[in-house]
Amino acid sequence: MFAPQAGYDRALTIFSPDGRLYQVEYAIETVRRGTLAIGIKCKEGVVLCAEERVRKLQTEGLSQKLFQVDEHIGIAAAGYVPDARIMVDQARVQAQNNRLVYDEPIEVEGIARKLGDMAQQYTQYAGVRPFGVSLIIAGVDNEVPAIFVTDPSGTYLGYDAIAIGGGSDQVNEYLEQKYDIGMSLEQAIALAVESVKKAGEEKAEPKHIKVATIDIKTKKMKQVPDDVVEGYLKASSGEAKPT
Amino acid sequence: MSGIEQYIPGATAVGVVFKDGVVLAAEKRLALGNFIMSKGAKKVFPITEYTGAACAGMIADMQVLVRNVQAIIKMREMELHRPIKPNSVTKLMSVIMFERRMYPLLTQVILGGVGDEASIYVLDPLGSVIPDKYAVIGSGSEIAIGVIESEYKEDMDEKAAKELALKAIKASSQRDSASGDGVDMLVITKQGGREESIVL
Repeated sequence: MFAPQAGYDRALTIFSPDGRLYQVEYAIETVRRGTLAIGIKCKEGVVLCAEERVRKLQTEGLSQKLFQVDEHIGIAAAGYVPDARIMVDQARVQAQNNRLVYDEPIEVEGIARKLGDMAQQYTQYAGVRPFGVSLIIAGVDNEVPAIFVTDPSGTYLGYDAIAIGGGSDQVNEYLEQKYDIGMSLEQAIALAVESVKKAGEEKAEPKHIKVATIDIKTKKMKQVPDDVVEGYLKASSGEAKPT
Repeated sequence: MSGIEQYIPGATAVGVVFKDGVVLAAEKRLALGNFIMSKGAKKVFPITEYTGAACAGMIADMQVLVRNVQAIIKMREMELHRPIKPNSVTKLMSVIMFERRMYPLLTQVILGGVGDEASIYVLDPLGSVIPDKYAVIGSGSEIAIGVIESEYKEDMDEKAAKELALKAIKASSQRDSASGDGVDMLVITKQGGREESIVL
């Protein structure tokens, strides 16, 4: 870790004399301490995958870290997840506004830019703190799959495959070795599930892994059911073939 | 004389979809009541490389509307790194007109262009959007629509579409006192838009 200069890491986001924004760097550290999220692009579409810490008696249901923004766009979050909900709310408004004003579905980059702009504003306004999340924004633009990642500084970048959150360094290395744009959606899901295991400190269980896909043909986000995820998990440990 | 024609000039404007594009055309007369203010009014407007519009009604309102739409669409093209399709330009114009429904822009518009396919839309002053294969607006529209409706065919070529639009406007120029003094035409294909001016 770094030893910040006194007074430059308090409430106001201001430059330190050596040109750094400590509050933003701390927010990025929050993301590193969050749970893993993965996005993978392939020729048939995109896969979003999130690792979640679920308590034993917690009721199952919708994922806390996977969100649908529009029919054709989804978001996976890593970091301080309540912040992600606020950004997703804005993304949903932007997506519907684009349909209302321009009569066409918004592009994935459009959402990424909007959320990047929003994150940037919170590095500059007085009396606010930066967002503590990174988001993987994945979707299909007119049959072309796309993935973008935003971080607390407001930077957004496009990727073929990317992991954010805890253990993402190992997973990104793994993805760099294994990635192939020619994969099918099934192969991409398998790669995502396998990647979660690479990062996992705990034993990977289906209850902890949430997966969603967007097929370029249907252009619709679909959650992959837990029992199907379990099939992929078993297959990756050589127990059985995925269903 | 105290009719509305003292303040809102009449006009004839037509739009025709053909095989690989659209033709937008309007005559050039600007008449307030019995007085011809101008013989060179321009009622056809290119908006982007692949979209354009023709109008009837208050020309000032249309000029302001087109400038607004052009500015917003230019910014959107820079954001999306691609040309904006006619349906998007139309919807934007419709939103601007609907937002001002209590103090409306007094203009009817035919907006057309080439995106995935050639298409035209008719907008009224409150911003309703109606897609069509051919359309006519303005005080001369009853005359012009008779010509277009009787001769329009789907998959016409550019030459036939231009001739049909011209014939319709010539007909309305003969019988509508608010229309005449030549024709402005905008032809839009995948290669972009081309403007022509025809002296009658």
